[in-house]
Amino acid sequence: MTLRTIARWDAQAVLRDRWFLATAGAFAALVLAAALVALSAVDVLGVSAFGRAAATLIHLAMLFVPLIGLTVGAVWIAGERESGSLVLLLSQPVDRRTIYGGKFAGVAWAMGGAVAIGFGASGALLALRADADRVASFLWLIVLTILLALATLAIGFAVSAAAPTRSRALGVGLLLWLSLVVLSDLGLLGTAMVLRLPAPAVLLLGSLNPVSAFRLAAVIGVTGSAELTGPVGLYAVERLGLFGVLLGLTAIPIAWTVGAFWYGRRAFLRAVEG
Amino acid sequence: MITIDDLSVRFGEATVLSGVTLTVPRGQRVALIGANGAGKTTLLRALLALVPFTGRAAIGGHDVRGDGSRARALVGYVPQTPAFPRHLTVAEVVAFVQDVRARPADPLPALAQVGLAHAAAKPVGVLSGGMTRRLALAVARVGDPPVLLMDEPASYLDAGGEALLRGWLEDAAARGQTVLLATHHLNGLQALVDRIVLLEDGRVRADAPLGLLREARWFEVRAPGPAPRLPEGVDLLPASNGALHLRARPRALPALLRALGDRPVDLDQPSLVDVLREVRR
Repeated sequence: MTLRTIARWDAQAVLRDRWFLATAGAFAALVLAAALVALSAVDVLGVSAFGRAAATLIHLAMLFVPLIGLTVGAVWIAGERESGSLVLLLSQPVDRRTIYGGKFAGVAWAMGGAVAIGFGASGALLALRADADRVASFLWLIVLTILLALATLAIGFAVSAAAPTRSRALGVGLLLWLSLVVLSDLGLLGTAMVLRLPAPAVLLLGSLNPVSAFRLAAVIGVTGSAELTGPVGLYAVERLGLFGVLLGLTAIPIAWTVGAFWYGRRAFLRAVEG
Repeated sequence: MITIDDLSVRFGEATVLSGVTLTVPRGQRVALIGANGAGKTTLLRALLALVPFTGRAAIGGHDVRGDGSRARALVGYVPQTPAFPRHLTVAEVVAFVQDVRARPADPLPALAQVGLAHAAAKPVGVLSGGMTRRLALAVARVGDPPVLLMDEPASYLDAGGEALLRGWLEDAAARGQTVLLATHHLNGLQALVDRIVLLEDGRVRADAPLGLLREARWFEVRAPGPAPRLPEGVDLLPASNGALHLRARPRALPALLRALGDRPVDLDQPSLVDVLREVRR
């Protein structure tokens, strides 16, 4: 009951947060625009509108969802701690684990809702105008995006719980976003070339990044093959099968969510109670 | 109701509290006084498990760390610098605490009690210091907790707010609430507490009931000329600036003034804190 109460209040708080509204709004608008553009070209090119829309949506999700999750998560607890308003909750008869869980659940609910609304609108548009038979692929994309949101939010919360100040938490959050979204693939590519890593190692290292895992799982899930994912994806499907790869890749953001949540809660308890 | 046993707090190399032992029985109102940095705020925060500490602290028999939720269920807390989530309105802050304490109710009556009903729809970010303090008082009373921990509750309050606070402290006594009030000066609240505890450098230096302090209170009397025949209850102190310097118990003061006749008299009464320090010696 208390966890739900805290979650409800924090969901309300995040829905009043200007940064969250701006980034989630931009994400939803771009997702909708991507669907409209994909649909407008369908007759000219004769190529699946869904395929084009999905490719754009995957890239939008890769950019925006970790940005929202990491930055909003990073300032959520650190900001309240710095302003002193966290004491209001810490002095109430609520277990500190419940406070952390409730706050995470509230922001996660709001983020999940934003993703579902953004994707839902464009999904409905695509289903009405073209490719109604690809609803399952679209739902798969929504589920994966929500899992990516949860993973990056959990990492952001962990940063927030461990960071001494709001500004440092935000800095670390942005650095992580840059690393996970931009630098990680480049770093992996360089490492693989220099160290001549075998394919299984590249696959393992690449998919440890929840953003990369999302991209691979989304592309494989939507297209039904690993052809667009390069040799590493092909190797993985050959060894594990399509279902096995999807299962493994889906487990990555879940593992990040659980691990980061656990670490963040521990850091929160240590910071609060010593 | 509140039991603190050998409680110590260290922040890095600095020892903020050292071996504090204190018991506050149910229904007692205790003023915790001391200079800035004496450790008053830290002691209250330790009772809410907001700072790491060694030793033991319990509220209503519940260990504040091992059984913290139950301990905090008994406590209403007014922090030294109250802060609230800035996105909430005044009414939402009270509603939030009512929700968390599973005491859902209309927040307006609680706000009316502290004179904030007119500001119910305002965001907390626009409140003045005094209004923020009043809101903290309203929040501390949600669920009518049997223990009130108040950290400098009178600061920023105007005359109306202070009257409200005094009324609440009187009310607390009538209702059998336990109050631990930290302040660096009593500012007229001394009549509303039952006991004063002096903290210095993180240690309890003195602890006395108010009745004893009142009895022990004296007057400092300075007057020119030789010492008259001193009535009982008056001590002769070393002369200050050539003037006669006397210390008189309250009951001996009329007789002393009569003995001094029509000499000009400089009369001074030390604060209860000064008396507490003297009692300690």
